[in-house]
Amino acid sequence: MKHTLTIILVLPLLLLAACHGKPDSAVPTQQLPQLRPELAGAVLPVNIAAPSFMIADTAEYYHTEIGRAGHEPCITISSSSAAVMPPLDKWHDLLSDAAGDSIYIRITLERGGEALQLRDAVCHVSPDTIDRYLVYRLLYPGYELWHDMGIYQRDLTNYEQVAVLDNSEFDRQCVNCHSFVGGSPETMMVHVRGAKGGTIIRRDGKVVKVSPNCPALENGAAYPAWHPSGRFIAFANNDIKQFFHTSGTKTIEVSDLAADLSIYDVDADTASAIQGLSSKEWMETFPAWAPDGRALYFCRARQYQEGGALDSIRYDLCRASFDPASRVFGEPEIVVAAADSMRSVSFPRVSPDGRYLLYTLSSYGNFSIWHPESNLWLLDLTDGITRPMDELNSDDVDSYHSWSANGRWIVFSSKRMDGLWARPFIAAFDPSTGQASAPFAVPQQTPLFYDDFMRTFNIPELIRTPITDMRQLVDAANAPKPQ
Amino acid sequence: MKPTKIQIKYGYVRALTALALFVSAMVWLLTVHGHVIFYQEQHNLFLFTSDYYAATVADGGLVKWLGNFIIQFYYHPWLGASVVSLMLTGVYLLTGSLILRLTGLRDLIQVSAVAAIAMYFTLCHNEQNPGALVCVLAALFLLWIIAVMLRRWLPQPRCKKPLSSVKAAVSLLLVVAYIISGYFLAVSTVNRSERAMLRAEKAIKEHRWDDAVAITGQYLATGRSNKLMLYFRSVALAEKGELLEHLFDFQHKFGQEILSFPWKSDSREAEYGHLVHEITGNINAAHHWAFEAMTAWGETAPHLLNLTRYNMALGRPEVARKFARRLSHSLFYAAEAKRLLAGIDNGSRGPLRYAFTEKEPQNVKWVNVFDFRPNLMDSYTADPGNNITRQYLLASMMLSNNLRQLIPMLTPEDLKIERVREAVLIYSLDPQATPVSSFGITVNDETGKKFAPYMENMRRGRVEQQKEQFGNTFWYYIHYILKTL
Repeated sequence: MKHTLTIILVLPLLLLAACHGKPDSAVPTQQLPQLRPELAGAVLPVNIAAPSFMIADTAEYYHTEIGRAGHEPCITISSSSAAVMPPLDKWHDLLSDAAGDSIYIRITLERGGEALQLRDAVCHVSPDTIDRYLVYRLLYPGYELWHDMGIYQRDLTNYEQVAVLDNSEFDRQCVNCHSFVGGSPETMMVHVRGAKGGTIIRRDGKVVKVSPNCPALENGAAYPAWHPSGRFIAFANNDIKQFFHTSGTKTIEVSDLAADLSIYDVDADTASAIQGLSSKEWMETFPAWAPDGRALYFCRARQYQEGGALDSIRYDLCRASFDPASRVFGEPEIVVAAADSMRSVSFPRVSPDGRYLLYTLSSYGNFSIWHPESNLWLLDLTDGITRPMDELNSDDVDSYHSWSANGRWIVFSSKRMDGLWARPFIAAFDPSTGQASAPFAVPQQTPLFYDDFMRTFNIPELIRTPITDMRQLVDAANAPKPQ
Repeated sequence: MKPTKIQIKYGYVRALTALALFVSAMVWLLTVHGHVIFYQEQHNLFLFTSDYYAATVADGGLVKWLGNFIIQFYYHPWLGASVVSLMLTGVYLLTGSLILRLTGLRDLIQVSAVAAIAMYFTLCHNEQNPGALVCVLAALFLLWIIAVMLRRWLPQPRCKKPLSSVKAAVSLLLVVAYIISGYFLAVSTVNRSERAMLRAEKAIKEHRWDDAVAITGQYLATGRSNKLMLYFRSVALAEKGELLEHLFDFQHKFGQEILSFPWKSDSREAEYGHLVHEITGNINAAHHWAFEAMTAWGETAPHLLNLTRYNMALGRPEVARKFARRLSHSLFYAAEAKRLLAGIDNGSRGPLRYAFTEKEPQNVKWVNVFDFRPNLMDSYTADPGNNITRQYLLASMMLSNNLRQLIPMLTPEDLKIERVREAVLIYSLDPQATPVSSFGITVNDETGKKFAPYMENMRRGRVEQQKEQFGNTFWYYIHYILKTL
């Protein structure tokens, strides 16, 4: 009886203590909250999952209110923890309500008996949706060896991640270079390297494993680019080697010692070298089609000579016309003469409307993910003006990128958080102005996810519908090596 | 209820048996299989995180996760051995109790002790996970609970008669026999080479250089030749400043590979390759090897610690922080991780000696992953005060018989080393080479006198005699070993 009485008396007090609400009066300050990952100024797609974040400002108690600009908060979280994990359902309600408008993240800190209300961190909510799924490879950001590796599909409207191809299911082989046609997994490919190596192609509901290597070229097919028709894949056939820096900030250099372009006819299962883009004089790599399929963009550098300095290899952005009917390529022309200004281009990607080309620029070589100086640049194909995307770039690596199907979102890899692990960042893009918004890291369920997760996100590619037949892909990966 | 006299006597037998099993398992784990405890602890790091749980269960099921939970206690071998011994004792007690409850008979022939000893042998190989023991213990406990609940329907324990002292003695003697048999079985099944290598590795990691030299010396003196043992020995000797002196103590056919492994994508070598790069100031190369090791072997404590230290030395605090944070989720390394994190916060580069700087060089230089010498030359040029780098550099020149590079680098201190004097003598015989005198060096008289019988043996083709008399000399190495490489 005595115990019951104690419980009856103490429990409400405990509950009261747990419901520590926002103080009635808080001193407003002009200080912006420090959120990790950063969110202030971002433009959010209306369908994006709730981003969890840490409040980096120290306090004894944190009150977070999130709501539509000029409205009462929709989400209220009070806690002694600096971790903020907005509930997904309320978040989606908020974004639907605020589409085309702004939302605020209002933080009130309680410390030393005082309550400080920080300036609102404001995000804009775009009415445009982002392609719902993001496909990437997860692996250690290492050197040559690998063990655990896989390609995964993340639903951007929530936090669900599923394995598309996890190499524990196919003898720990290497899997890489996933590529889609027009953001649809209906036509896709992925390479598998190892004893049962080959290229898995999914098209017309069928999954096959092929060898798209060109007999006329010394090196195997590596970096792919699907022709918009889904009939052809342009491949760079590279002799890729790793080198290790003795000193300096960079650790690894991945360099081509030779590279040529080939075209693989998916219907006929034949590959041929592209005339004029497979010469001994040049190294051509990273093919990318124009959305109309009538031009192929690629990066080109002078052929590496044995004993030559790797830091003198620099790639220009080039283009060659293509006639799908006759399958004839035109003469290559330089679009961005980067090498002249001691810069090097990699990963050209044309926007879905064909107006812009996004590429990475670094000081040399083409494997920009290991170059802290690498930045994203935008080329307006209508006037040839190119500029660094300062609104996206950071002091560290900003590299591999892809467009959403509607051309209004860019996803790219950045190592800005720590310099070694690449994380996918999203930014809104306005095709009418060619300007992008401040980027934000792909939302995760827990705020410290990016601090603790030990794998790097490689080749983030947006797709509109999910890959569903993973079993077929795994079976293909386990199928014998094609001849 | 006060126990009857009979029960107490049987209880004594069981208590004595349990104690004997506990002590035996402790002793075996700390002595015969001490290297297994070390290996498992170094290759598994239990983390108190949900992603670790998910990844471990996906990889090896709950059994693996439970096993790794136990392995974390191996950090303190005595603690790990105590935990496991206690579990084995639990297997004995529960099995005996179940026998009694299910059959009504006392386990006088000590079948339950055999069960516990058999379970011990599921723990004594490097790749065996104690998860199976946890599961067996849990299953026995569950059965015991069921047996207790169903005691009304089970045979009543036949403990009416007192246990005679003869029976008790026989029962205990059987236990002693099982334990002795188990011990001999344990000793006979130990892979001695593996044990020696792990003991050497442990000595190296704990910076017990004399022990490392002794362990590798004992191993190599048996006539076995092992690249990893020679590599460990080189590290320990260099730390003691005696590498050149003992470079040819044990002849081998690995050439410079006893100093540094060329990169062959070998995951086993990747575990140890970082050591030499670390002590010679090639931290970028050490980072390469350590990262490859982590990729191949997982996020274990040594790899996370190494990568934290290397990134601190390389001036990449945020990368170092991430490795240290990962480590902080463990039980026994958390304190060390916190110390490292505090160091990172304070801008510390840690105690490692980095030969270079993180400043971008004017001309990019690459690590030679196949030949160690150019890297050593670079790091020695950048940090000539590193005596270990110097010893390795001179050793690599001697092992490759590159005397024209070696001789100009020698100091009077080096010439006190007999192996170096032997190299000087060989160099002086080269009519094409710059005379040794121009480097201020003379051929030692004693060494010259020793060379005469060596040449005599060589002329007469006395190979065995040569090996016996001069097997540890530079001469023997270049004339009889190097030519066959």
